[in-house]
Amino acid sequence: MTMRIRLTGALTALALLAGCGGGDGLGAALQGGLASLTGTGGAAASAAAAPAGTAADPATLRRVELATIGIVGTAQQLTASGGRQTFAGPEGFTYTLHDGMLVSTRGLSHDLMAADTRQSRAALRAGGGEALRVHETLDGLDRIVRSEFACTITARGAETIEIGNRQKEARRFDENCRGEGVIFDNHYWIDGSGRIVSSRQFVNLSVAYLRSSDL
Amino acid sequence: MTIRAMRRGGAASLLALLAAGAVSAQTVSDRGLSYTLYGTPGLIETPSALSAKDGQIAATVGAFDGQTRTTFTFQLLPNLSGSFRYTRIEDYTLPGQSVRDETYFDRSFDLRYRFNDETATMPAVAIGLQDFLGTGAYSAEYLVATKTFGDTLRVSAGLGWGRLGSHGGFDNPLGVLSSDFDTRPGLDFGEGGTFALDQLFRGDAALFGGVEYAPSETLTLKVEYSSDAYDRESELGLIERDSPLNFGAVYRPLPGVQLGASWLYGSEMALTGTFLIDPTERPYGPGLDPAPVPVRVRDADARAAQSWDRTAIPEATIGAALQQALAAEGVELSSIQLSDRAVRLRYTNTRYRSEAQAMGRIARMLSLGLPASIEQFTLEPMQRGVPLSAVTLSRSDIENFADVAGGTAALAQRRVLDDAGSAAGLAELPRIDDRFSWGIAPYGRITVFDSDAPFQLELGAQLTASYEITDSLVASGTFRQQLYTNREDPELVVAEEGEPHPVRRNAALYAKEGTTGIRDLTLAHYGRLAPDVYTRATLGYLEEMYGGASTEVLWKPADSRLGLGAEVNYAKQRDFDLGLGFQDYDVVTGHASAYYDFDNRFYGQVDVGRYLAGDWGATFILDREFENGWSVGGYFTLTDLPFEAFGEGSFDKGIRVSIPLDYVVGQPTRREASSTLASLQRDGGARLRVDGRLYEVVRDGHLNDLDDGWGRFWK
Repeated sequence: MTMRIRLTGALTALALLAGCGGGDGLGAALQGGLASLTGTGGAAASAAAAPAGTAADPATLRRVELATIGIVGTAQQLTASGGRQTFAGPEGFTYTLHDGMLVSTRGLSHDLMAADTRQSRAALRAGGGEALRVHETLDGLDRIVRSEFACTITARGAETIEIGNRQKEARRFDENCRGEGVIFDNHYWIDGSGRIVSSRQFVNLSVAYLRSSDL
Repeated sequence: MTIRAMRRGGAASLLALLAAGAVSAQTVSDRGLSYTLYGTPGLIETPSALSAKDGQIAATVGAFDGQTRTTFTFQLLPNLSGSFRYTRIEDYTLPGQSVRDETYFDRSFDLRYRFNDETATMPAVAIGLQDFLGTGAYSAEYLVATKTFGDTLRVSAGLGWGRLGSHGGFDNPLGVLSSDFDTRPGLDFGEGGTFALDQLFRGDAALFGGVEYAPSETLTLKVEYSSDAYDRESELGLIERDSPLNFGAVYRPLPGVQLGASWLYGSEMALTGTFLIDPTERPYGPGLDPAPVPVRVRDADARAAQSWDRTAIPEATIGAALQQALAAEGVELSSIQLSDRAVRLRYTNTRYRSEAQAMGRIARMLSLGLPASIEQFTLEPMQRGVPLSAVTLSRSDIENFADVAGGTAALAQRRVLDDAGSAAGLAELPRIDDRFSWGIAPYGRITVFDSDAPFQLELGAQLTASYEITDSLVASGTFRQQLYTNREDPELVVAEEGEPHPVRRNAALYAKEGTTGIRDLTLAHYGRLAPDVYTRATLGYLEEMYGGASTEVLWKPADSRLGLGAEVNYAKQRDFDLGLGFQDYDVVTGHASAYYDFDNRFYGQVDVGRYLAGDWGATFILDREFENGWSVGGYFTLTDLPFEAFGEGSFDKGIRVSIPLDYVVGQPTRREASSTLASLQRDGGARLRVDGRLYEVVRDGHLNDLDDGWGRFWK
């Protein structure tokens, strides 16, 4: 499978919106007027305020890896709102985490269009349990295909993991999911505050797993 | 990596005859399918009762000793397939015709209907008509049953009439119904191309059958008993038919490719190659579209805002910024209407085949950039400067349904589709895109089916240019330079007694004399008279052979399955040299048209009116369209021109295929490749070829096309 994704189109547009292009336009409005007016500009504006090339707030960066298709690098947070964070990874792809759970990818051709991971997240909070997970993908006829997975979440105890260059103590959980024709295993590392600081989560059969960690 | 793909039997089995796994009734029919020399699912020369996967197209070339059959088989419906075949037979003439030392070319058409799915105990049973249109040289009818045993063995047996009843024939069992069935009348092919109804299932019947064995997933071995006596070919000394037994092997080196060799009738070596295309499987998956911008979710306070501060953000600033941002998505924003709680946009999507996908991208940009009080987004897509519809989305829905399972469907339910609103209230934005565009591209033209020159090729380069005087008034032209052709010098066709004026038959002369010339040069205007009523006027050199004026009006509400249109043209025949001059012939031609969008993915069209040669009649078109933009269909035209005056083929008919380019290249694009396999283009039932007829322009933004592409809203 070839995976050439160009940083064009939408992300160029985003750069424009985010004001990388110059003082005029919606980008400026977004950083200034629009953001302050809406009162929520924080996320978008912070992404905007840290254009590529300048030192970004480490809290908005992730290390991301899609081993199967050979994408590894740093992802920059684009927006964070409504509990969802969207990151732009290398080669123009983006992914969205909802409370740390992978709910979509874009720009990978075989994208995860959407996911319902609420039960899995609740089971992680509860220290383990059963969960039903739903993934949506796009088929050759542009129809949304819904796949359901029955998952078991199991606590694996504390582990010391490397986040950025630091060693960090985190609780590991494994999620074993079984659906029609597919079995996969997700891993999560959760810190003392209950936040997912590192994970390996299933995208689909073509892309396999996405690893995303704090930096 | 612990992904384990547990493929179920039949899920990936174009390749393997009976690949490992349970044989389930629903999937057995298209498993391990291979093709006959006639390009239909079956054994070597005889058919089986199997069907290909729904929608699949199989292109087969089969050849042996002086015969070449090129066949396209399309699985029209899960149980119904149609085949179109073009045949070349050296030194052949039809029965009853004098023996000539010439190569014979023929087109033929088959239909096959499968009654049932194979079950554990019941075989699949199908009925078929082979070459029932055209001159009938291959005509045969059959009933056939096919049963699969285990994972490797498949047996077919059938009863054939016509060619398939010519060896080992016995009295027609249908004779008990009526003595009419006992004898098959001789071929009265006239100009060909008509139904030979009085022949079907008549005359002697015979049994045929065979066995397929698959020792591996890539190899199938076959043996069959053929009931085709090859009477005429033997009579002409073309084939030595020593035995009714045929032996063959089919090898599948790659998915979608089948290569076969067989030993026919104890004397002939035959080769086949089949290439399969499945319109429902995209080679690049869902598409290499770049990632869109994310949705920004407002917090509760922001959602509650009733207005926004226009001194901080003037409306003009928003319009200009959005226009610039959307340009990066290939969306040209023409006008905008802003209020405290709502925004309305008119734009032209130049990149995405699916208008819904463009809407998804626009909606995300709006959620990211607009003041928080704006809750309602109304999107009015335009094509050729004409607004097609209005889709209203709530910003909260965009926020709530992004990245949420079920969100695509929920949004489809909650969107409001209407006719595009009026222009009142919209603030025009100055255009930032280029009004002038141009390009140079190669072109190629293949003309087949001409019995004198069965394969004519023309290659060259063309320069296209257009200038948008306004959004809806466009001047455009195409200039062609021919670089290569294998055409021999055509002769001027002049109408003989009783024949229509040669309105199309001199096509070859345009290719010969118009080596450098203007293919088209027009001024086109599009408009909207009323919310549901669209207009077009095109003036100039409309197509290669005709210039003049073309006017059209179409009624098509955005949420209606029915469209009604009318077109009136004045056309004057152009000089052969593709210069600016005209010949003497002119005609007023036009049609009243009805378009209907059946809910089972079939589109029908009927045009009634006057054709280029002045003949009156009607054209019937039926296309099967796939959600991803593929379309396969057929048409025929009957006019008051008698079949004898029409000439070869009796009346105009053909099949047509349209392939969206994004299917092929994986990148988003609105372009598509269309091709028509017409029967020989003659003068009866010929229509003017005008670019940009309204129905095709308008329907992209309407209900069914929006629904078809809706899955891409969040892509």
